[in-house]
This record gives sequence, C-alpha cells and structure tokens, in this order.
Amino acid sequence: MKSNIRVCSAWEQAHERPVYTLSETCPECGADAVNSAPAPFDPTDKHGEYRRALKRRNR
Amino acid sequence: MSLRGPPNDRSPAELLTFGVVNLDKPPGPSSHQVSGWIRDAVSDSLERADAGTTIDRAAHAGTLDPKVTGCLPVMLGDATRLAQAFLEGQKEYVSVLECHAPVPADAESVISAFEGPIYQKPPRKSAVSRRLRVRELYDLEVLEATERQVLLRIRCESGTYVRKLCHDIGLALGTGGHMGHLRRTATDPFDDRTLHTAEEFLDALEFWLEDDDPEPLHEIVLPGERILEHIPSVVIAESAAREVAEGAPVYAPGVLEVPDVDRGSLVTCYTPNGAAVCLGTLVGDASSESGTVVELERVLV
Repeated sequence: MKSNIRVCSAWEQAHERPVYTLSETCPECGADAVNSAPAPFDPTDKHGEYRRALKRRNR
Repeated sequence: MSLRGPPNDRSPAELLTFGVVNLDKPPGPSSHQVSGWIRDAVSDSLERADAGTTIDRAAHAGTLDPKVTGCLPVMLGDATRLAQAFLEGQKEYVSVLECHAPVPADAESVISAFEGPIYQKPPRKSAVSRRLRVRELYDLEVLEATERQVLLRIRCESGTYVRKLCHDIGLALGTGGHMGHLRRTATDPFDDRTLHTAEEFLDALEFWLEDDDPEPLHEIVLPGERILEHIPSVVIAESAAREVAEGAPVYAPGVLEVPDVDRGSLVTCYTPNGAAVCLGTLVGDASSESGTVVELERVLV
C-alpha cells in the first residue's frame, strides 16, 4: 500500500530512529524517502520461494 | 513443566514457543488475522522441524486497525501470558492529519495546546464502553505541514484514539480534519528501530528449516523475557522457581534479590540464569525473613 508517510531510506546509517516525512527526501539528511508501509502480506506467500532464492543469491 | 535455560542460549524451537516478534504490521488485514497467520506459520514450522512441541496461540500487543502499519509485537506460545505487560505502556504514532481547508499559520501553537491530559469519548466503532475519559498526550510534535496535510508525531497513553484526536485538532484549527494514514512507531518496550516484516519472518523460518541456518530466526524472534525488560525484577532460587511452577507464591527464603519498588508493584521473578519464571505483585520487602514476598499473577513455566 502506498502510504503518505514516507521514511528516510538511510535511517539505519544516518539517524538513531527512522525519520518520517511527507516529502520525497529526508528533511534531516537529504537521502531519498521511501514508502514506510510494508508490502501487503499474503499468508499463502506464493512468491516466497523466489524471494528466498534471490536472498540466497545476493548473500 | 521444566524451567528454562538462559534467554541467550535458547534453541529456535524454544524461542518459537516462548518468544516475541516485533512485527511491522502489513496494511490490510486486522491485527487478529495477522497474529493468526503468524501462529499458523510457527506451528507448521515446528511440525516440519519435528520439534516435539508446538504453539496453540499467538497474541498481539495493542490492536492496530486494519489499514494501520507499524509496531505490532506478536507473542508466541507461552509468551501470550505476558500480554498484560503491554497494557499500561505508552504508545507512539506518526499520523497524517488531513485538513478540510488550508492549514492556518498558527497551527503549531494550536496543536501544542493539546499536549497533556485530554478528554476523549471513544468512537462508535470501538471495543470499549463509550464513556468520556481522560487520556494523556505526553508529546505532540508537528513534523511537517503541507498545504492541507500535517504530519504529527504523537506519544500518548495507552487507549488514546488518534482518530478522535485528529478530529478534535481539526475543530480547533477551524478547518475541520480527519486522520489520514497512521503508523505506530512504538509500543513500549518495542519501537520502530527493530521492526521485521512478515515476509522476513517467514523467510527466517524457511532458512532455519531448509538451510539449517538459525541466525535470521535468532535476529527476529526474541526471547519472551524481552517483553519484561521495563518491569522490576526479583531473583529467586531454582528450588523456589520449581514451587512457583506448581502454583506456590514466592516465600522469603527463596528470594535472592528484591528491587527497590513500592509494595503492590508488578514484578517479574527470574531464576539466577536470567529466565523468567512468573509475573507477580510485590507484597513483601527486602528485609523480610519469612512470609510471602511475591503473590503470583501469571506463571510462565
């Protein structure tokens, strides 16, 4: 779901806690602000196998 | 009914039967549905792992409405008994206030007047009785304002309705307003620094089962003791812990350490290895030689 509440994409490196904003950039560090809402969850998780394959490949 | 080992040395199966996941709630399903899915995923995983145990319950801490995202701690298995530890805790939200007319220039000062105790009557669609009640707003900060939207950070008492607050701020501003998107950023003692999505959790379970890699699971599922961090602790001997497991209160001879808090406070009893044994009320004090020191509230072993 696309939420109006956006969060700094680099908060783990640049800030102590997530920084929230309505705009497209972080007001404190200038990094891109991304959607704060997690992806909608499906308990059947049809694509889990592929998501995990991707994670294993990227490790 | 055996006592648990130290919290940091627990196996994945032990974590999954007495653990907590600081979940970033997905938008769409209700909190109840989400904790049901988590419970099913965990019980399926324990079955596939031939763990010999299973969980029959998962509980969430503080219901979030279906469209809301953010901090939703989900307690697994026996940790569901710790739900009362979340009841009094403070909550923190980031919310959009959608105003029905351009935001006035003095919005910040009008909004800051809401800090402190406020009156609220729960909305029509609520689980509690609709009596006027007082709730405290510990902190109310305007993060940003656009032409018709205000981004607010709200730190408040448990049981505060952000939707009603937004409605009332709209009235105070003269424009009218309603709550837009909402995200819970903290429900004490958890906050948004350590959130994990449901997908991350499912992947951690699969990596444990398929790849024999329990590391991701150790990062995501915390021992149940993590919920009790802010509650004063009483240390009792293992022998006393065994008695507690059978339902006996904690008597003075079994007590090794007592915190400096008032009688009647909620306390947690631990064995010396750091495992939680029970929640209770402190009825005695450090100097007691005999008699009951802690009355049981919930037994955790």
